Amino acid sequence: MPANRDMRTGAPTQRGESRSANASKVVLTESLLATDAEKNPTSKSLYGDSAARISSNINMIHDHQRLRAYEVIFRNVRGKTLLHLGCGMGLYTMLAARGMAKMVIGVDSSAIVDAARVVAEQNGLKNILFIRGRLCDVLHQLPGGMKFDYVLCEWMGPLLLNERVLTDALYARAHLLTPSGALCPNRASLHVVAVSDYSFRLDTEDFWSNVYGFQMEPMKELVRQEVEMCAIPGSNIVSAPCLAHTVHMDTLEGLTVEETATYEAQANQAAASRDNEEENPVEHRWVPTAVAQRGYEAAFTLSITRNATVHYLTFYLDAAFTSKTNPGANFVLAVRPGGENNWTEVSVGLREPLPVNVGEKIQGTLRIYTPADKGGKITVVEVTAKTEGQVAAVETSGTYYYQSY
Amino acid sequence: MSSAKEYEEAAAEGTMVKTTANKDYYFDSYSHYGIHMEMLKDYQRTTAYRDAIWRNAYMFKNKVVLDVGCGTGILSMFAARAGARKVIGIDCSNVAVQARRIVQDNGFSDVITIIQGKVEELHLNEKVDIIISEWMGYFLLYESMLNTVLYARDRWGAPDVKILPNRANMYACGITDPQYIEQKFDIWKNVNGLDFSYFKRLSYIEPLIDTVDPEQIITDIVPFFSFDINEVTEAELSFTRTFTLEAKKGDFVHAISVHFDTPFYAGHDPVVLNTSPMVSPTHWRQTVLYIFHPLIMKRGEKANFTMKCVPNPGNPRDLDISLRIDFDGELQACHYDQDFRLR
Repeated sequence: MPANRDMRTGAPTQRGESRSANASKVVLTESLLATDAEKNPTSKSLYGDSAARISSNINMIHDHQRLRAYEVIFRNVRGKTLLHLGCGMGLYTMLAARGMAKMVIGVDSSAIVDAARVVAEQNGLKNILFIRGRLCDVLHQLPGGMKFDYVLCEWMGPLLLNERVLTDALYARAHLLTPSGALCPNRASLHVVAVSDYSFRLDTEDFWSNVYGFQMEPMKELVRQEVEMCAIPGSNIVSAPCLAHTVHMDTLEGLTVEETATYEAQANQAAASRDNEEENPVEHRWVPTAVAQRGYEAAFTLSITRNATVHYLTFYLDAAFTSKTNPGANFVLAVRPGGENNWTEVSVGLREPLPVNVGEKIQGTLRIYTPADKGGKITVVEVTAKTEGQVAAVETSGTYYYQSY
Repeated sequence: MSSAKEYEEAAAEGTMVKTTANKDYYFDSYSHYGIHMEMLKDYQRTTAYRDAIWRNAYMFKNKVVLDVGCGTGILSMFAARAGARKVIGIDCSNVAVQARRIVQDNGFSDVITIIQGKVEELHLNEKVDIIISEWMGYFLLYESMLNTVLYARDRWGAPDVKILPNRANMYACGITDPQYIEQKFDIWKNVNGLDFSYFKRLSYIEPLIDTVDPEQIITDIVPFFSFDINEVTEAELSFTRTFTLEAKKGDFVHAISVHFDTPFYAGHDPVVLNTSPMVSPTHWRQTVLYIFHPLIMKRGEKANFTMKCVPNPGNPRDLDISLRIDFDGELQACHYDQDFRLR
C-alpha cells in the first residue's frame, strides 16, 4: 500500500485519507488487515467464549445499573489493589485503574482480554494488567505474594452456585485478599416467580406433535427437561416474587483442603505446560466445588396476583455488596421481575400447569445441585409445586437440567 | 467404524462405542433441541427440501438414499414417504437417539436406518442412488459440512448419483446501514470517557449475520460464485472472485450483503431454496460485511470487488474472507483491502 500522504502537501492525513488534485474528492486507501493476534481466535476457541465477539460486548456499555453499582467501588480504590475475575472487555477494570488504584489486575479466559490490553495501553493506563486464562491456570502470573483489597467477581450463576468462577472466587477469598480485603459482591439471592405462557408452551412442546405431517414426540422430552434461559415479558408474570435462597459469601463454606491442593496443582501444571496454551487456549478445566455439588434446598410460596394458569417457574438473581469497612460503598444489583435484570432469568416448565385464582398461593420446593460427573457442566434442578385452590388441586414435580458451556 | 447393522445392534444393546465426534464441541451443539426447532421452523428451508423430494417422487421409487447430517430425521422421512426403498440417515450428534425413535414412531423402521457417527466411518453394503443433505451454513460455506457431502458422494455415491440440492450460487449487493454504524461501531469511540476505538476496528473484522431490509439495498444484486455439487472438489471451495456492483440510487454503501441459493435440479420439477433479502427470511438471514471506508456512490456508478475466501487454517469450519475494494466515483474514491473472519 502506498503511504497515506496528502498528494499536494505531503502531510499525513487521517485514516488513509487524501485529496485528489481535482475538486475536493476524497481518496481512501488505508486497508484493514487482521494482525496475527486478531487472526488467532476461531469458532472452536470462541465456543463458550461469546464475550470474545465484539458485538456481544455492546450490552455491557448500556448496563447503566451495573455501572452505577460498581462506581461506588471505583470511587474508593485510590491507592488500593483490585483483582477483577471475569473482567471480560475490561471496562470496569479500566474504570478502577482510572480511579487511581495502586494496581488493578483483570483475569478472564476470553480472548477479549487481549483486546482490552490494547485499549488500556491506548488510554495510557499504567497501573493495570490483563491476564488471559482461568484464575486456576494463571495463578503463577500474578505478581508473587500479591494480595488484594478488592476482589471483583460475579461468582453467582443463573442458579446461584452453578457458575464455574465460583471456585476461583472461593480460592481468591481464602488466599488472595488482604486481611481487611473484600470480595465483591458478597451476597446473592435466588427469587422465584410464577409465569403464565401458553403460547410459549405450544411453540416449544406442542410444535413436535406435527412437524410437516410427522410426529416427533421424543423431542418433547428434551424440551421438558431443559432449563430455559430467556427474558420473560412482565405481562406474563402472575405472582409476587419470592426470595427462595440467599448465599452470603462471608459465611459460604470454602474449598476443602483437597480441592485447594488440586486447584494449586492445576496452576502448577498450567505453568509447566504453558507452551501448549496456544493449542487449547480456552479449554475450561473445571475444579469441582463441594459447595455446588451439595447445592441447596429451598421452599417457596408464590402469592398469585391474577387469575391465570401457571406454566413456568422463573428464577431471578440479585446480588449485593456490603462493605465491612466502608458503608458508603454498599450496593445492590436489584431484581425487577419483567424488567431489565443484571442476569438473564432462567425458567422451568411445569409438567402439569397449575390453574390459580388471584390471592391463592402456590407452595413449592427446590433442590439445585451440580453433580461432579459431566465435568460440572450440568446443574440439576428438582422442583415440586402445588396449588390447593378453588379451581383445582394439582401437585406437579419435575427434574430439569441446565447446561453451561 | 462398522456396518450400519452392527451399529444399530450395538446401539440397541447400549454398548455403542462413542466416536470422538461425540466430544466435539460442534456436534454437541446439535444435541440441543433449539437448533433443530429453528431449522424445522424455517419454512422456506424445510419445504424446499420437501417439495424437491415430493414433486420428484418418481426419482425416489425403489432407490437407496443417504441423508447426510439427518438431525431429527425429517429429510429421511420425506424420502421414505416419496417411495425410497432404503434410507440411511447419519448424524454425529446425540440427536440421532431421538431420530431413531421418531422414525419408529412414524412407521418407517423398515425403510430408514439412523446411524450415529461420522460419514468417514460409515460402511454400507451398496452404493446410494441419491444423497440428500442440508449442509449450508451462514455465507453458504461456514461450518463447511459440504466437505462431508463431497466425501459421501465420492465414497458411497453410485456413478449417476443424484444430489439434492445439486447446485449452489452466492450473490452480493451493496447496502446502506447508518443506524448500525452508529450503534455498533461509532459507539466504541467513547465509553465512559475511555477510548475503545480498538473495538471498533475489531468489529469490522466480524461479519454480521442478520436480516437485510430490501430498502437498504443500494446496488444491483450480482452472482459471484457458483458450483455444481456433482462436480465440485473440496479445493474449489477456496475461491477468489471479482464482481462489480452498480448503484441504483445515490447513497452510502456501508456494507456488502452476501446471500445464496441452492437449486434442486436433479429431478424434472425444479425447486430453489433462496435466502435473498428480497424473499421471506430464512434462518440463514444474510451475511453482512461492513466495509472500513463506506462508499459514497452516485446512481450509475460502479465499484469493483475481489473476494477471496478460504477455510481458516486453524479451524476449517471457519472462513477467512478478504475483500479488495476499488471504487472511483465522482465524490470519493476507495482503493483498499479488508480482512474478515467468519468464526
